[in-house]
Order: sequence, then C-alpha cells, then structure tokens
Amino acid sequence: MNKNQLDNILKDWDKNLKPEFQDASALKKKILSDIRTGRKTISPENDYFFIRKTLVYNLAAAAAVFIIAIGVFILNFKSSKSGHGAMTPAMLALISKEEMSDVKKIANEVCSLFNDKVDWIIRSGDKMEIKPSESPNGSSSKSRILVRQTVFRKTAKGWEKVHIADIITTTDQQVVFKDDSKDGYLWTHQAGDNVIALEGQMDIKVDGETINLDYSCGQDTETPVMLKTIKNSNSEYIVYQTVNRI
Amino acid sequence: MQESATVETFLKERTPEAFSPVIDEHIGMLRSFVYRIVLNEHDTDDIVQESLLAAYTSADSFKGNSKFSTWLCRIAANRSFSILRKGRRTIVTDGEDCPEMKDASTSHTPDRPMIGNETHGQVMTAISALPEHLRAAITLIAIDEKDPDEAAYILGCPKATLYWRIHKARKLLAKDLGELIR
Repeated sequence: MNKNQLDNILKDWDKNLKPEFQDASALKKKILSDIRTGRKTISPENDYFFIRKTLVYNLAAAAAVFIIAIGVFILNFKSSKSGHGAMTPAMLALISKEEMSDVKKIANEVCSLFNDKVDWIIRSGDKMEIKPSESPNGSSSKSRILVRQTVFRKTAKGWEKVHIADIITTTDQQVVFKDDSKDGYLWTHQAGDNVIALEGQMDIKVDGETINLDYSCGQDTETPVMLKTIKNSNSEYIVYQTVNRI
Repeated sequence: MQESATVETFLKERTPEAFSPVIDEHIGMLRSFVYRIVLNEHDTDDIVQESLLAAYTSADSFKGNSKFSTWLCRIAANRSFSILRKGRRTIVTDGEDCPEMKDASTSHTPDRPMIGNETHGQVMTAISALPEHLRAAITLIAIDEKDPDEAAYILGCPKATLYWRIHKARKLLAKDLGELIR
C-alpha cells in the first residue's frame, strides 16, 4: 500500500466534499440563544458519555473480579500443589486442558457480564484487568485466543514458575498495557490455520526486576516459544509465550 | 498554549458576547471535523451546537493543557461517537448519492491524482464503511495532518491505540480502494 497515495486520495476526497449546511449564522444564533436561555447540555471534555457507562462497567468489573478472584485462587492453589519434577520450561509453559477450561470459564463469565463486549482480559496473579469494547459490535464474532507469558526462575531444584500473565484477546485486537511510565501493547493476527502473528512491547516485573519484552513473531498455537533469557549475578530468568485458541 | 485574542477574551469574560467571535472562529473547523465522522449535515450541526454550548457552559474546566480548538474537537468527537452509537447508525452511501463535487482540476498535480465523481463515490463508500473510531483517526492524521499526540487527545485514547487505529483504517481502505492506489 502506498501510504502517501492513500493520504492524497483522502485529501482529495475531503476537498471534494460539499456538505449542504444551513447558514452558519443561523446555527450561531441558535447556540447564543441556548446560552442566553441557560439550556443545559452535555458535560464537556472528559468522555461525558462514558460517565454512566463507566460507573456501570466499574461496578460490573468489581463484581466480576470478585467472582473471578475466587476462581483464580482455586487455580493458583491447584497449580502450586502440582509437582513439576525435572520438566523443562518449554514443557512447563504448555497450557493444560484444565487450565484452558478455567480460562474459557473466566472468559465466558466476563464476556456474558459485558454482553460480549469485551476487547481483552489480562490476568496476572490475583489481578485482573478487563477492557470493555468500544466497538458497538463487540468482539463476539471473532475467535478468542489466550496468550500466556510465563517467567521461570532457575533454582537449585530446576526451573520454577514465578510469573504467569494470561491475556485473553481476539485476533487483530490491540491490547494496551498501562504502566506508570509508559504504555505497552500486544497485537495478534491470525496468520494461518494454526499460526498467530504477535507483536508486543511490554515490561514484566518479577522479583523487583523489570523484564522488557519487545518482539514480533509468528507462533504455532499450543507450542511454547522462548521470548527472552536474562542472566545476572543473582539469578537467571527465562520467558516463554504460549498461544492457544479458546 | 498561545490562544487567539478572541479565545483569550472569552476565557476572561465568559459572556455570550465574548463567545460570539469564538463561534465564528471555530464553527467552520468544527463542522468539517464532525462531518467527516458522522457524514451527515443534520447530525453535524446538532453536534456542533451541543459542543459549542458545552464549551461555553464548562469553560472553567478548560485548563489550557491543549489548544482551545483541540479541546473543542475532543468534546465534538465524544458527542459524535455518542450519537453514532445511540443511533447504531450505519452510514450507507454509493457513488450516486454523493454530494456534487467541486472542480477538482485545480488541485490536480502529477503525483496527486485528481479524483472524479466515480472515485469520490468509491472513497466515500470505503470511508463510510470504516468504524467511526477508525474514520476519525485516519481523517485527523491523513487529512488534517494533526500531531499524533493531539489526535490521541482529541479521540481520548493512548497514542498506541491511535497508531493501531490508523494502521487498521489504512489496511481496510487499501483493501476497498486497492485499484486506486496501485
């Protein structure tokens, strides 16, 4: 695609637009008359139409988080009990059927709570962030995927999972991570039947360390891929990413 | 931010009389901006009216972190999205329904294709088919050539989201207008 050519076409389109507006002075008169009669109007700058919606979403999100926190607690409890033996990080990064079924349950619960208008869900430890959809059509028609990023730390006994972040999203949807200092993002695209293209920039905080990820890759579903290794004097970390269809 | 004298005066006086030249100064720009999102004259004027009224009544919430015109655009963008959502309006156009075009020959240069009636209709259809957030993002950047920070503020989204919307809009437009940009 030629970006400049497209922009020029858009500029020409705009120049050729000829909306048939009423006289600007008539509109101005109406505005001044509204002002003089003290007509109330929309609240101004800050997403006025989101105010009520946001309140409802916040309440719904709080309820959802509460319900889901119980599920997450049970899930964490279960995974902390399971032994890992001498498994490699790639093996440990695989997502089990039980975990997928829990993720599905959570995704369905949250989506039904928001009438299927959820862009993405991020679950990390006991925290969950839900992004209600801005699109009127929501995201129900698209296929959901789970992107899991797992950070392992090397210990004397082998590799230990120290951080799991689950991102439930739909393909072609940009997930934006809010951070104190900067925003990160994850973008996914269905590149083939079982291949997902991913592009991401984010910081993961583990044990006081910040692991910066900046990558783009194509990845087979249900196949963990190593994103980064970090080795310093005290510890060694490895980050894996797994993508599964939900 | 450096504001025009009319805006400065209004911000000091906050009277309908002081607001009158502010309306004159911004009404054209607001109409163009809103029209490109809602693609309908009637809704455009309703939105412009509401937005200017809101700006007048809530002028104290304008902190001067952006230009007054940018702040106005933000109010108008919110109102536009709200109207489109409430109405679940689908903008349907085809080449024949497009407004008559101006003589495009004056703007034609070798690297700048002149667009005819048929092409104008094609572009209108493609733009109308874009979701409103994508339409607003691409028009702000490609047509108004706004600074991405300013465009992101107007649309009330992070810059990354704005870039994504532009990318997505370009992709969709390229798909619909493939033969024009080859």
